[in-house]
Amino acid sequence: MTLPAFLQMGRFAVFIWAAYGFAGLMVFLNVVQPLIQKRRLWERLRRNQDDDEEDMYEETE
Amino acid sequence: MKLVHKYAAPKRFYELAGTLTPWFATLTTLLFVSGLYLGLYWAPPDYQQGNAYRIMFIHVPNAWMSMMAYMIMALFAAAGYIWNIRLADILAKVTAPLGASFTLTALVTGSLWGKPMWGTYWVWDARLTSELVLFFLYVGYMALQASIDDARRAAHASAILAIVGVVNIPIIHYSVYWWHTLHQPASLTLTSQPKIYITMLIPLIVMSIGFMFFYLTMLCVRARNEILWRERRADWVRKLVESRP
Repeated sequence: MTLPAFLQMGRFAVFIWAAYGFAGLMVFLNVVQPLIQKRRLWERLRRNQDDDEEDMYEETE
Repeated sequence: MKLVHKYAAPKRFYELAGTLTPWFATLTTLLFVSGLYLGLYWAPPDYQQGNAYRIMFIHVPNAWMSMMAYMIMALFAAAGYIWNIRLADILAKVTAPLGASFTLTALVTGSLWGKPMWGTYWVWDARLTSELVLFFLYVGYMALQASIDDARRAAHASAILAIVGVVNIPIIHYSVYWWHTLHQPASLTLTSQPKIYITMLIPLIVMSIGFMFFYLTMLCVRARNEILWRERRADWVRKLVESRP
C-alpha cells in the first residue's frame, strides 16, 4: 500500500482521521497539562515555602 | 493492609509513583505505536464498513476507560470518605480529569463513527445519553472540587457525588440490552466467544491495554503534583525542594 492510498482510507477518510486526530489531541493535552502544572508548582515551591495560597494554580506576586 | 498503610503515606507514594512513571510511560508508548500500526495498517478493511470500523480501536478503549476510571474514582473517593485516607482523596481527584477526557473522546469518536455508519452524528438513545451523563458527572465532580477551598471538605462533598453517580455505570453498560438503541451490543464479553474477527480483536486489545497504561502513567504524574502541593509545608517537601535548587 502506498502512502496516499493509506492516508485516503477509502471514502471514510475524513471521519477516520478526524477521530484519530481528536484522540491524539486529547492524549497530547493530557500529557502537557500536568507537565506545565509541575513546572509552575516547582517554581512556586522554590520561590516561597510558606505560601498560604489555597489554589495551586493561582500566581503569587 | 500493612502494605496499604506503607504506601498510603503520600511521601511513599510520591517516591513509588516517581519510580513507576517512566516504566508506565514506556509501556504506553510501545502499546500505542504497535496498536496504531496493527489497527491502521495490519488489520484488513471490514467487508461491510470498509475502513470506518478502524475508529473502533480508539472509540472502544476510551469508552471502556471512561467507565473504569469512574469506578476507580468512586472507589478511591469512598475509601477516602470512610477511612480518611488522604492518598485516596488525591487519587480520586486526579482521576476525574482523565476520566472526563476518556469520556469526551469516546463521545466524539463515536459521533464521527456514527455519521458514516448510521447517517447521524448524534441520537438521543440510551447508550449515547447515559455516556453523556457520565461526562457531566465528571465535570460536576471537578467543579465541586474546585469550588471548595479546604481539601478535606472538597473531598467529602465530591465523594458523595461520585458515589451516587455510580448508579449510571450499569445503566451505560446494560443500556444496549434494556432499550432498543441504535448502538450495537458489546462485541466482547468475558463469558462468550468474541463476535469480531481476530485481526480486529488484536489491535483492539493492544490499544485498550495501551489506554489503561496511559491512565496509570498520567495518574502517577498528576498525583505527584497534587501530593507535592498539599504537603508543601511538610519537612520532606522542604528538603526535597532545597535539594533541587
